[in-house]
Formats: sequence, structure tokens, C-alpha cells
Amino acid sequence: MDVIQIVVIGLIATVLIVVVKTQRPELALLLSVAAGIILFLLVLGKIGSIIDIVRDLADRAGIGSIYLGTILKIIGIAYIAEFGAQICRDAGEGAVATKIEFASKILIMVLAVPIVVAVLDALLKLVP
Amino acid sequence: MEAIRSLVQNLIVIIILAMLLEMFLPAGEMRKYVKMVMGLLIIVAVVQAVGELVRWDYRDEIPPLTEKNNEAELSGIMAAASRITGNQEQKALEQYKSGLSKQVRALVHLHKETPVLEVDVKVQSGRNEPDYGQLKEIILFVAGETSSGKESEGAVKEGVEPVTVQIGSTIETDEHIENRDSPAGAAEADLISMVANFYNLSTEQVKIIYR
Repeated sequence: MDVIQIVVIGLIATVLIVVVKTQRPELALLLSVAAGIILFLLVLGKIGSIIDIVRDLADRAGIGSIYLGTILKIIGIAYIAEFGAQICRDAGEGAVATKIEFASKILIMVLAVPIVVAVLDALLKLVP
Repeated sequence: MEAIRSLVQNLIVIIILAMLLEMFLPAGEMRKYVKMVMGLLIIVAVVQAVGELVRWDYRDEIPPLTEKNNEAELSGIMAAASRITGNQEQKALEQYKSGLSKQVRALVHLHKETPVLEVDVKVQSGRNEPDYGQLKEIILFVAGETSSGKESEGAVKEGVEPVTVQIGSTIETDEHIENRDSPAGAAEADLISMVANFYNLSTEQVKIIYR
């Protein structure tokens, strides 16, 4: 049962962080990062199968693989930025967290440019 | 109907895909940005699918406003194509006639008694005729004249006025005199018959002209 494994790892990490945080806050932060990485690695294999299904659906809908790739990249950027920003907030660095979020927003917008151009093209083609 | 069916299928798949992708979105601040880009992607997919249907309608149902220009260009292209086709057919016909006359020349050379100088071949050149390209007539140009000065059936003199000899009340011309019993007349008749039989023609379609 993967879910039990994940929950147990999460609970252990939480207890350790709570215990350590009072004495060594910097170690608590490292523990938090390590727990996040372990949990991510546990579900990494399953993400591949979900992406395959999404790709299959996109092929059926006639959506180009370049658009789907862009969407997946954007989702990845959003997750990574979110994780980073949360860690920064947990460490008490709200300003850095805000900067991470800002940078990720810019990256998402840059990646969205081809899709915006495609929307414009498609709408202009509709006009006779 | 097929296009509408395809459009509905595409839309269903796109909606399911959108729902699936929405489940992946992070819960925090970044969610609305990712959602906006995903919305754009869905718009692209839907507009493309609808656009294909709209273009299909225009082509099949409503003639476009710029149809006249296209027709003018098309008529020019069709006229050029027709002209090129006519030229090519004319060349093919000339080549066919040339080849056929060479073949006839080779055939008549087997007939040693009558020296043939030139061969002219006439074929049906009307494109709309059912027997287009079919052999109509073969004219053999023969050197000199027969020893008896008389011709067989189908033989015609060229450049010589018909000579009328009037003796008493009887009028005779050279062209209408037939003498199949003479050796030269028999040779010409034999040549005509050979060529006519080879090409499955009647003997009237094979002519001999003296030069």
C-alpha cells in the first residue's frame, strides 16, 4: 500500500521536524526538504503513466504535442516554484518566497507565448 | 455529417483532457496562472476543431467571394492545358504517320517489280471522330511509268492532263483503261492488294501515283 507508506513517511518527518525545530531550526528545514524529496520520488514512477494517458488523449483530440509539452512544463514549473516558496516561508523568508513565485510566473508567461499566438492565429483564420 | 461527428468527438476528448489536467494543478498561488494557459490551450483546440467544420461548410455550401478570380485563373490554366494537349496529340499523330509510312515503304520494297519512291499515309485526324487515328488512305508514289503505259485499278497519273483519243465515236482516257493481263498492271494490282491486305484496307484506299 503506497499511500500508507507515504503517510507514515510524512508523519515521521513531521514529528522529527517538530522535535528538532525547537533546538536546531536549520536541521528542521533540511529534514523538511528531505521528506519532500523522498515523497516526490515515491510517486515519480506513477506520474509517467498519467502523462502517457494525457498524451494519448491529446493525440485523439488533435492537439499538437508541442502544446501539450508546454502545458506539462508549465505545471512542472508551478509545482517546483510552489514547493520552493513553501520551504522558504517555512524558514521564515517570505520575501524570497515571493521572488520565487514571481520568477516562476514570468517563466510560465514566456512558455505561454506560443499558445497565445496559436489562439490569435486560429481566431484570425475563422474570419473570412 | 461526418465532420460534425468528428467535431463532437474532439470536443468530448478535449473536455476530458482539460478536467484531467486541472487535477494536476498546484493548489497555491500558481494555480490561476497555469489555469489561464490551460484555458488558452483548450480555446486553441476548440477553435481549430470548429474552424475545420466552418471551412468544410464554405467549400461545400457557399461559394467564396473570391471565386471569380479563381475561375479566371482556372480557365487560363485549362486553356493552356488544352492547347498543350492539342500540340502533343498533333505531334503524336505526325510521329505515327511518319512511322507508318516507313513501315509501308519497308513493306513495298519487298515487291521488287514496282519501285516505290515515296509513301504518303492519311489517317483520321479529327479528335472527336470515333475512328480517330485510324488509317484512311495510303498513296504510293512510283517512279516512271509502266511499260504498257496503262494502269491498274487505283493508279493515277500526276501532272499529266488526261489524254483523250477520239476515234470515231469512241472516247478513251488513259485513266480508265484497265489491263490486268499485262505484266505491269498485274504487278501494280499485286502491290495494291498486298498493302491493302496487310493493313486491312480496301483496294480503293491504296493508290499509286506515277512521278
